[in-house]
Amino acid sequence: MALPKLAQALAAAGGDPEKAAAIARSASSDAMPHGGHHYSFISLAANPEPDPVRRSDALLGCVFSAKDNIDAAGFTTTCGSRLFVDAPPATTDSWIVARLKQAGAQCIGKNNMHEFALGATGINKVFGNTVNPWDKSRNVGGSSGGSAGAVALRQVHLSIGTDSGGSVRMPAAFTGITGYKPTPGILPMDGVAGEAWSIDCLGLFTTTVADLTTIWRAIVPNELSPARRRLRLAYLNDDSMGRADPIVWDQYQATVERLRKGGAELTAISIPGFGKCPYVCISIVYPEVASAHYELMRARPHEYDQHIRSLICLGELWSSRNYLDAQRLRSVLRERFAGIIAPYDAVLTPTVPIQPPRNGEPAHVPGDPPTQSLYTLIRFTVAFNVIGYPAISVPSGLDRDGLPSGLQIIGKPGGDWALLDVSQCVEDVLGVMPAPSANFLKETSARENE
Amino acid sequence: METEESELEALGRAFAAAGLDATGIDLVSLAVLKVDTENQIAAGRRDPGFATAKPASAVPQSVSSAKGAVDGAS
Repeated sequence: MALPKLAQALAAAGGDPEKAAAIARSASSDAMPHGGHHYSFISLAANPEPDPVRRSDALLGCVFSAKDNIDAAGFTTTCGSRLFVDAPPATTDSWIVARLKQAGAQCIGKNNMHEFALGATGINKVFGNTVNPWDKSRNVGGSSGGSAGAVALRQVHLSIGTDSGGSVRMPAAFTGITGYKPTPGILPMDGVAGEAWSIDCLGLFTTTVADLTTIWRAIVPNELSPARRRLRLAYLNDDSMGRADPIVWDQYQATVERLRKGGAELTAISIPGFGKCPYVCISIVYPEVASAHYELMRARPHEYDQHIRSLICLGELWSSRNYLDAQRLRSVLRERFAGIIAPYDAVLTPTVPIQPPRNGEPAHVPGDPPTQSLYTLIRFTVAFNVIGYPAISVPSGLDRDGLPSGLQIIGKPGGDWALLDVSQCVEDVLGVMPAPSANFLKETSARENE
Repeated sequence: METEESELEALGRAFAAAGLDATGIDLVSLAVLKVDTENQIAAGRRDPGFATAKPASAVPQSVSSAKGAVDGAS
């Protein structure tokens, strides 16, 4: 049984903690340990009750979960790693979890993730590979793949993730839901096991922009939404950020056309120089992560996933000049994009350049040189981590193979309410994605009968 | 991209010098990743805005009259 929509859940709770607790219990009883065969969860609350820290009823009836690198009191924070499986539970909440609880929302569990968020898939050898609810044979994306899976399957109304290169927006696109990376700094990182300090950012998953706005209003008060008017949007119309699979690009162009017919003013643009953003990102992330893991890497190296261990080790060998050059390039690119976006309300790109890759197959755009495959999944998202702009992925329907696709909308720093307003206009035109459950069950049944 | 034998040896030596256990690590892939990334960042230094750019994570500081001098911008 899927959870009711957020608005229905809030109304059903009606300010009554007992009714809210019943909604939360229903959600957690449906979600099996590790998300059953979905592997969306690492841990679940045994018997969720409204938290005594509640100060308002704004989100009473809202059920949420958090990626397992975000502290929630009573749950162990594993970071998706064998290293912390037996660590004691967190005794306090992270800022974001506390804020949601204060607004009346209930945390029912912690979500599966790519180990230490150092990868763009839902693959996890310790806790299981999170399944894409639209097609079991395909990757869910990551690193916040469990969070995306839980929201897509309507196990929770909201999940919190982290996004340092696209780890919220990309799995959101792969599962047909909304994924938001706000302006860095708006949501404090207190209590989050972030490791690339100058680039980490919290993010939020919901099924719709409308739900996201309801939640945003509860946790980031005192900002007013701008008045609606005809949208002025720019859209990426070339391969200046890298190429996309033709199926994805066709879907993107069709989405742009639907927005034009819906009344938006659209201008084709290029975003030159941003193809180097993946390199800038890893030149910053790897050394920062290596710094965070220095002692642990020497004490327990073989408890890391081997690939993760190799990336962290590589970070130790990065030159300080290379690191600082990358930080300086961030400044160059940030200033350049400010000029690009200035005349518009927002900029559009595809969220991901490919369909969700099949399990065990590399993420690759046909025709790309092999060296670029490492960065395929984050090609369109990482730039906005590098330059610190807010960005959201909203569902843009099913492509011609019946797989969900995402449209990335980039706003201006600090203009998060304006970006949500634009995103709501886009959702109004494109419509709300259905839940994948019928499709998922059909796929599961078909494969089990093979 | 071809990876020079000397690059692999250098990477192995660097791991050892840093006290890191390289057992099971794919040094070829890491060497390619490292060299490819360094080349991309080096190319970024030729960007017209680079010479006067400060690190994005730098704390606010006063403007220096020597701005850009150390990067060869005269």
